[in-house]
Amino acid sequence: MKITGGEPLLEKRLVLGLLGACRRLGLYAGLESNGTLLSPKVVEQLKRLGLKELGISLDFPDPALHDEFRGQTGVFRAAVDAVRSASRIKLNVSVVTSVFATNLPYLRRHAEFTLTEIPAPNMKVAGVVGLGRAREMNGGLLGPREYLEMATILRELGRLFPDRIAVGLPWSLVNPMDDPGLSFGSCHADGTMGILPDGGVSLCGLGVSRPEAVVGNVLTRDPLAIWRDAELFVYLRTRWGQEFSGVCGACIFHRYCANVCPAYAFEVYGSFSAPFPPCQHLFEEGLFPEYCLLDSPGGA
Amino acid sequence: MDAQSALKLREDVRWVLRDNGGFVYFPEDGKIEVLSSTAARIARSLLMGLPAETVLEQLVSVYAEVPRHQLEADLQDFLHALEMKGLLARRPTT
Repeated sequence: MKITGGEPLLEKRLVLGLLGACRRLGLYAGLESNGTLLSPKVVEQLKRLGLKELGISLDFPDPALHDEFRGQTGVFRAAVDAVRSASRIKLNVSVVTSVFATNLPYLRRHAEFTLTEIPAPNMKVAGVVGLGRAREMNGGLLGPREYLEMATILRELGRLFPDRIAVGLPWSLVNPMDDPGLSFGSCHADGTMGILPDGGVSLCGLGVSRPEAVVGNVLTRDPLAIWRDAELFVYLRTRWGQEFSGVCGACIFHRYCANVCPAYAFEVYGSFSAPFPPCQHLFEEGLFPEYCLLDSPGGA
Repeated sequence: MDAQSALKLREDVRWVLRDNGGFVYFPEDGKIEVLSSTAARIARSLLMGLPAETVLEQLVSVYAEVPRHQLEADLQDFLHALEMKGLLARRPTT
């Protein structure tokens, strides 16, 4: 179970209750937070309750820039302190960085700061996807050339900091064969059920911005029944990944990175088997790595 | 080294070969098989149509510290592994 937000610790009692339930049921529990409510005491409490993995959002290596972006003074300091508190008690902690147009120029410095100065044991990096509030974010989504630049920087960082940076990026840009110093995450869409703040159920947080992707509500129906019966989840479990449209359908890595984030594909193209939008944009601008293409891609 | 057969790598797979390694993409199931740097070097030579003897000489010059008989055995093992995966065919030349 991954508990995320907004800031989940604004509902601390709920978070503690969920962690307790995870422990009773033997579920792996992770939490993502901006760190503002993570005093050393709270971090210890989370660990005692069985939290296995903590992700702290940090966007910039500079207090003024991070606080300005987050719109709150002191967020940077809180995030850094939370990472250090968790590290001290050996709680598995990572700095989580979403890359967008405004913080891309700082990515190298950010990784150095995160991994050598804080120092966080690990960091997770991905290009921000245009879902929900991110669509209107003031940092700006990455364009195709910026996406390529991010991949180039991450390849360098993988060599500088082997085994400490996990990425959520298409294999056409970084992959385990060419970049063994990086770790590769995937979204496991075929095993994911997102529960929204109002109890709505969707794929991850997609239902917030696309109400048509909400397939039930845990307040009114058994979550297991929703998981078993909802057409969305049946599709994701049984058919998603077999065929993709657009550039993902013609890419040699489709079996491995699939379309990276089917929620983002749905958001942009209205289909879970549509291509990962940044890859499709790269292809349309003639920037997609040619060696990855098996034949001419169809439309998205 | 068997001088009686030419080695032919399967061409309907995608060979992605780099200086530090590479991989083979199998279109029938979308799977990928990773190659070490030495395997990629050998595959590149075979794709150029070089015979096993020449590939062995290349390995001997690159890995001067390794005994020739060891390199020959390793090369034969690798070629056999490629054959087992259906990636290599030996064609009689005489």
